[in-house]
Amino acid sequence: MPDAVAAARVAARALVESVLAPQADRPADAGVLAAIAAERRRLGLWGVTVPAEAGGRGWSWPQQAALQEECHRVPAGVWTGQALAAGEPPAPLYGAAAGVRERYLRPCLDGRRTAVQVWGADHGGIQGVWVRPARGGVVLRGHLEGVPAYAAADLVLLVLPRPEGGGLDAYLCDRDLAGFDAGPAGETMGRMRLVDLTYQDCFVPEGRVLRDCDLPARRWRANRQAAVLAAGALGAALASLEQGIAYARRRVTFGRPIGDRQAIQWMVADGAREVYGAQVLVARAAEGGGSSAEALDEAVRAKVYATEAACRILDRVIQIHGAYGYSRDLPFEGLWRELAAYRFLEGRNDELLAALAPATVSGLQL
Amino acid sequence: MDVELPAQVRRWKDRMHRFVAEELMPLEPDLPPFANRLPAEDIAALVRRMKDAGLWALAVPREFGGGGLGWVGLCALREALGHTTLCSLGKLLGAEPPVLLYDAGEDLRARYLLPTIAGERYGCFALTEPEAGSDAANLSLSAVPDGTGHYLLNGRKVFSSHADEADYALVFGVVPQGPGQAGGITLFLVDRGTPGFHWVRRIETMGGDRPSELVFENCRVPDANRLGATGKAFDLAQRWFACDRIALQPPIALGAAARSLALAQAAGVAPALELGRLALGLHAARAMLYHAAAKADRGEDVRHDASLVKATATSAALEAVERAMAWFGPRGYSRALPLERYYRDLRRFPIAAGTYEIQQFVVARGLLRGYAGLDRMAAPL
Repeated sequence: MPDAVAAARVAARALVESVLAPQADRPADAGVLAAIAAERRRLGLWGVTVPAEAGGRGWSWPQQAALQEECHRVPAGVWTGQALAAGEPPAPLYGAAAGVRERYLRPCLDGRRTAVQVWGADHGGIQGVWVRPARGGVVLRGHLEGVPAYAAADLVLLVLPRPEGGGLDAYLCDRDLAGFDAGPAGETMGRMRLVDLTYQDCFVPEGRVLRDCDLPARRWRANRQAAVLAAGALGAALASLEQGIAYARRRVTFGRPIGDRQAIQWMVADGAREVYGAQVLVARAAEGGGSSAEALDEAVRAKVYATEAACRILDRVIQIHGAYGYSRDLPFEGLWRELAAYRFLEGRNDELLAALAPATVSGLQL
Repeated sequence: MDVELPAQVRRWKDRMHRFVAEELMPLEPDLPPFANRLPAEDIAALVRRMKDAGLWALAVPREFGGGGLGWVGLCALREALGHTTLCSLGKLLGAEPPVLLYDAGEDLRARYLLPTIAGERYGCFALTEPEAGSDAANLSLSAVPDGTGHYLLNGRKVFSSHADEADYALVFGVVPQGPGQAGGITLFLVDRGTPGFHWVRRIETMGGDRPSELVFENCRVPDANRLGATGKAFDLAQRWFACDRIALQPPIALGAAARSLALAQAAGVAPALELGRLALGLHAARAMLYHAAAKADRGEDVRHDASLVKATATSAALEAVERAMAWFGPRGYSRALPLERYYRDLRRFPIAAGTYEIQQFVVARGLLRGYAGLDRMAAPL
């Protein structure tokens, strides 16, 4: 393990030990999120995704993945996942004009605002919001369904293909933008709330349009896919499977530990294979760092593989623990419900898989 | 995807389906996300309307005042009930008494079975203990005769579903073997409020089921409340649990999965090939279900069938609901659709009342030891 990644892991473990592990498995909101933010700053874990020249710490993807994986190993880390998104503004903001940086990037780095990048068209190219050029800016119209509610809390960077073709632009959508409505937050099976974003002939002045942000927007998405969702799902699955194995050694039925039984052994072995696969794919995607088209695809593959595997592994860990696993006395059912959302965050797994299928198949050929 | 049902069962199933659509589905938004509860007055009104519609106790044998539709009938009614997320409401199931009570003597019938069928009393099972889940014979709750015609119950029970609203519990305890005295696992009917019967807490779960933890502390139960012979609780249970295994969870799971796939299909989010594959799996499970239920109605041994049906139907249904959720993306994850609720409630089935692994074990053991043969599994009806 390179020194920088090892150091990241050490810092991440310090965060886990000081503020995440002492929490209940399902901590309550406000106070805990503030405590995590304060501790991240103290340990130098704030602004890790932001390059040094934009005012951050400029961690590599393997370092970021190590951080997320460690934090996700404790239930409170999964439960408060959004606390790790504070202070990490999306990449299209880094290279923006000075005025935009002052107004949007700086408050995000200070922790006064939270910005989130929202993909206005899915991987398959189906578009929810349309752009029409207008004098002094653009007009947006359309609807986006099921966006995490914290995205609408402060600032949405809506990424869309330019209408005349070519690259991607990002639109800075504040709460004060006329015609932009986040609607009421809908409840889900997990802690996350979802909102539907509506753009009703919403005029965005040119000063709030980030032109030609193809590369930063795509890399940011791939970064979230690989270093947050895939690495996080891996951490949660790995730690849960370890607990499942410990329980299988301890729990006795019919005079023998249940781990002696093939039914349990297969669940453990299936889980172990999938953890291994996720580790390899997360490492490949992190090392690639989104630096090429192939590296961007590899981030998608890591995301799909690790998040699907994590849900299956959590499901088996629930099963190994029996009724206790299904109950809220243990964290596993709650972790499953949280991780189920990872399967559609930053792109729905089925759509991502379908879009990548030709490239994946051709990559298998001799 | 239809399996032929007797005309009379078909008619009642259609009525139940109408009742579900008209009376139960409109109440779905009122169901709390993590509880199977509705306001008491709503439940009372529903029970009244079920009785008015003739839908109460339909599957209960005629000799006890029921409709006599049998196991096939019960499966059909519960399959219809599975079309609403209200399907796990405890009180609604009150029409179906703990079937072990069918074997009770006259006194226990009068005190427990008949009031339960009438919907006046409500019973729960207290079998599982912290160290006795799949290994149910490993019970430690003790039931010691005190020499005055009573037993003293001491021990702890966990995951007792609906115990928080039950009037009485069917408690499995171990009677110690004495000189000239039979011992072993024995079944007792214990009223709520009996001194020493402590309701400890609700155990919160992933779904709406909130089973209870119970403690028995020198709880004195009269010998008259013993159901069946001393040490024979599992003989009694074996006779009835196989039928419950067929008729309780699988039809609910199939109804829920059928509705989930229909929602996905109507919304145009279901990939055709996967939809077809999942629907075929449910179709097969459903055919197995009614085949086994018909055998149960003929009084045949259905222990092997029960495990096959439960493992097949609950896993096929859970997969279908899970896939439907995924096809809908964030909407499937949200409470705007019934899918997330179904998933959370159905996830209990491969665990409760015999895990998936125990069903697999029963099937494999039966085949390996020769109690069951592959060629005899589905003999023509």
